[in-house]
Amino acid sequence: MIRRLGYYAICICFMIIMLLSGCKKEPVKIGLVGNLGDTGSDLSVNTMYGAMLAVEAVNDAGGIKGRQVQLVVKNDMNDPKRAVEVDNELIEEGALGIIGHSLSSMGVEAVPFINEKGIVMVSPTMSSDMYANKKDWLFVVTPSTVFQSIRISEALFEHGHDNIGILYQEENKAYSYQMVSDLKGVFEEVGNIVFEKAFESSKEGGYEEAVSNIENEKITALVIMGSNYDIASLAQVFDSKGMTMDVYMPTWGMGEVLLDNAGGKAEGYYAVGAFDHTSQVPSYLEFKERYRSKYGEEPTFSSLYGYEAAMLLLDSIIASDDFDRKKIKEVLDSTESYQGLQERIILNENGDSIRTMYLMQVSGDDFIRID
Amino acid sequence: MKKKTTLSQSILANNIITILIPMILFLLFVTFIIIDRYEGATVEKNRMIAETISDQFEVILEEPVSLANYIERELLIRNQTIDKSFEDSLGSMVSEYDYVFQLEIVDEKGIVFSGSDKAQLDMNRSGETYYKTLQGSKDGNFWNTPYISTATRGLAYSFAHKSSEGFYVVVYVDISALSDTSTDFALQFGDQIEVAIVDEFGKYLSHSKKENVLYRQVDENIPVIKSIVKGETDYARVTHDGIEQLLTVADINLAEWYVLVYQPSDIVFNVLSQLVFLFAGVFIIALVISTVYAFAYTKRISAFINRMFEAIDGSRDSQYKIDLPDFHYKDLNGIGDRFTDLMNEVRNRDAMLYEMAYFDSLTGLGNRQWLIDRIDNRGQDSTGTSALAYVDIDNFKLVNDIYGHDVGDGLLSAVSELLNKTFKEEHVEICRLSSDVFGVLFCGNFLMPSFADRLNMLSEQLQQGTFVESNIVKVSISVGLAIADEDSNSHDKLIMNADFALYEAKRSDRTLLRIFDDRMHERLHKKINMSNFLKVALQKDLFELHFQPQIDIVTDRIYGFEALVRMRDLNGELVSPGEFIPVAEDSGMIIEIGEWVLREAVSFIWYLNQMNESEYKMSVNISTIQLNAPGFVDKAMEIIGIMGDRRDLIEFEVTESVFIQSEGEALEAVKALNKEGVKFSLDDFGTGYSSLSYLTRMPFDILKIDRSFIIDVDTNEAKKEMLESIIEMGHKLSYSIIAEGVETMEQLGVCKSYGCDIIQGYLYSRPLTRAEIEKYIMNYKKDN
Repeated sequence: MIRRLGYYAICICFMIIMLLSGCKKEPVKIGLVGNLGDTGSDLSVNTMYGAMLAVEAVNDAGGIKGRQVQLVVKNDMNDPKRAVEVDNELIEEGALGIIGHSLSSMGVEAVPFINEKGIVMVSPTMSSDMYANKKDWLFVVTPSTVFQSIRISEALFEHGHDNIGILYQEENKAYSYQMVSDLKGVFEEVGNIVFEKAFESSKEGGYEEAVSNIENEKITALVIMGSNYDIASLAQVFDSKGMTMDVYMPTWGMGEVLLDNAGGKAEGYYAVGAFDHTSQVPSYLEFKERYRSKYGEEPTFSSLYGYEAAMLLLDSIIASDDFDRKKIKEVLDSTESYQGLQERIILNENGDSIRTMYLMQVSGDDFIRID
Repeated sequence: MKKKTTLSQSILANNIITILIPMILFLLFVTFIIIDRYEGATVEKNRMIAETISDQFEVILEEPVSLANYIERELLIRNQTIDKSFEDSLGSMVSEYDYVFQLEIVDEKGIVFSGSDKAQLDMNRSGETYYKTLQGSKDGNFWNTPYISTATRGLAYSFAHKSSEGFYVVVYVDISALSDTSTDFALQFGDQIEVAIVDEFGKYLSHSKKENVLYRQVDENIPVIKSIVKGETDYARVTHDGIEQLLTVADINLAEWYVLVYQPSDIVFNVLSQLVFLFAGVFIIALVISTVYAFAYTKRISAFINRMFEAIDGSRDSQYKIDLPDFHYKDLNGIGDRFTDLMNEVRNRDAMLYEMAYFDSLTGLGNRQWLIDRIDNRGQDSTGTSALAYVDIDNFKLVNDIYGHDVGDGLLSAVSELLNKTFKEEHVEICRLSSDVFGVLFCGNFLMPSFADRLNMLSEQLQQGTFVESNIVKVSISVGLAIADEDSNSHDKLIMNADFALYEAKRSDRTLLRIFDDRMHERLHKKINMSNFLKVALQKDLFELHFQPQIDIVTDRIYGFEALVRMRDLNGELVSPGEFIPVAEDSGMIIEIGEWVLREAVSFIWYLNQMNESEYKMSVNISTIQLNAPGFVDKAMEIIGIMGDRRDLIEFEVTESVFIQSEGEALEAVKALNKEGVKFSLDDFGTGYSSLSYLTRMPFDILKIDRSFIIDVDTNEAKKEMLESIIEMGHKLSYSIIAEGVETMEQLGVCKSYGCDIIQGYLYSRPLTRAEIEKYIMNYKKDN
């Protein structure tokens, strides 16, 4: 009889628990950090949107071992100190890995921190070569600056430019300096760099000031290392001052904002990147369609990198068959390549992605591949 | 197998269930009602909040529209001429409107030609979405998607109005300020709700958590939001911020934005839980009271059932104590009354069965089972059973045969009374063990002299005659006595010893009392060994048949032969028939041995007659046990079937014991076989009762005069006369007379002189083997 009563008691407790609390497994947390809520935050927002689609895909497929994945988003406010703080917050909240940061300048303090704490960081857009070729806890989805520099140099050479100038954003100097350094290292073999000047995007009238500084320089091509908003704004100023020259930009400058805000003045600008906006690969087309219907926008390179970074991290968590940060790193260390939305990407022994670099040109409302 | 529970356990469990199930159902019912009602009220309240905010936003969003329209009108009045006063007025408009932070007027090519921010003059807006969207139309409005403004460093959106004259008035609105307004408004309704405004893709335009707006986060429930807006459902239960929440939506028509009101669904449960706890408390008290009452009630029922169990258990030991409590339930009282009646019936029936099982109905004395129980209960020692005597009435069957069964029964009653009278002492008990055997059980000290004296007295009294139904019946008794052995621990040994002592007493004629001793025990062992050996002998063909010739002294020819069975031991030595025949009879082996003898004897006489063209007879001894055995007649007929129609050449020799020791079966067998042609001879005539009544009742053809009459018949005159009388009587009854044991010519002479027909004895031949018989026949023929 005691067993029978016990059975009833269990049933009742179960019903009460079901009624009053419900039953749910703890979600698997991964973090996303970037510069959100500021000018130039499109990069991180698009990364976040891409990552959200990846998380949604995994959750729709049943999650990881029956647990849903939760993307915890933090704003590093484009501040290296703040970057470490939010990384620490994510570690304390139990995140198994971090997607981010967006800008290379954040990695100066964040990368040593995550190496010390032992948490994997998969960055979608942190391309500075200063983080490449190191065996650490950082894995990067975008190709490093040196690859972009090589491709820009090739394009400049092919287009017959031997006197060029460089304009770079001061705020993201960890990226900009590295990019300038890489470009100089490559291009000076074949041409002359007339100047290399910085501009402050956050400063009122910063663009006009920058343009005034180079207005009289004798160059046939200009390489701008800035965000898409920077380039759109600069394009308008160039136009207003009647300056005409070939403009080249690394991947960072590519984006919808450039096309919207440049008022058509960026037409013909060149860009290099591993992201082909016109790709017809089915997986990308499907992603593109999902992205559009969900966010009402076209995916950018950072959307794609955000998706791929999240997928790389989530696949590693699944493959580790455990919710252990160290095992996740081991899986990533042993990963030689992964499937991107547009191609299969090689991940070298240092966790740096090697992808095909394309030369693209602004044409109307789009970036068109010209190689 | 399903585990059984007791009735009281079941009543308790069912009582709990009958309380619990309605309680749970009631709680569920109340819960669902309350959830439904409370949830409905909550949703209604939230819908009102959402709609109020929506209305408020409609008003706010009207501002840039009306502002753009105002500027358009002004420009048209001025014929699109921009002067300083107009530009100043644009600046004052920006500061006048709370949410507007910038104004621009763009020409039809997308160039900013006037605005509140001079730095933007001449900037090209042809790449902007509003421009691209409205470019092809004559006029119209466009709400741009939110973006981070460089001017406000916060989220902003732009409203563009295209004039029919081709220019665009663009109003930039600070969403952060709008968001603050809606958040402040929502706070009036407490902190239990969360108000948000999203665009058509779910991107936050307003949220109590400002970072959600700033980060351009997307509400994960946008499909549900759209279904609510479409009217597919009033509200929804969704997961938001990791918890289940009630979602209510109102749309802002002007911009295809949605006002969302979230409220955690567990707020309903917080209210509900107090009520549930109240109800649960009441039910638990009810459950406790009910269980206590049920427990007391089941205790009474258990007591009732236990009393019944006790009564049933007691009845096994013949203890019929029925004391059932009185209930105020009719049905239980009914069960109790019927159970009491049933137990009384069982008690009466038990008593009757006990009488039948333990007592003899004729004498009222205990029977064998009673004796066994008595011995077992008392034990066998100086204070318990000390001795057991078996008292057997000799030849009691004759009494029945002669006087009839009524007299026999009367005699038994008389003997039981006499025994009671003779051994009328406290420590002696009398019982009747079988038809004519009584048991006398002694307890405590047993005094042999006293017992012997009383036994002699009893014997004399019976021999003098007992008056039974107008008859004076004289009988003798035999008594076997066993003294209790302290080593034995069961009734078996004492009863067996007394029985064996009686057997010994019966075996030795005219002995009143035999006391069991170790020699008897040895004999008993011998008997058992012999019984076992008989089985071996049958298997190993240790039996052999000898034949003693019988001579017809009238014709001086061989009349026939008597088959005599012999057995050899394992050393080949002959064993006396006197040793093994009684054992074979006692053990029943005589049936198998007798069958073997008959088969051998019949086949031999058939062979002899075939060989000699003779009509020799074969005489075979048949024991009473064989005659009583089921199927004997059929078996015998099968064996003697070889004789064909000369079954008359087979003679079965039986003794008077056939009439004394058996009932009608043996006699029926004799008659049946005789009818089939088999001859019967009465063996050992003259040694027993030699009652003439047997001769008249049975179909005998031959009388065989026992050798005890022949031994000294030539010198004993009395025997001569008896022999003469027997022969004369036999002849008168048409019997042939065979004299056994004739060994001398003198004996032969006497037999001849009295007209004896056939002679058998050593004078002619000892029993011979088959081969010797064949030789004997040849020699006899030659000599005659």
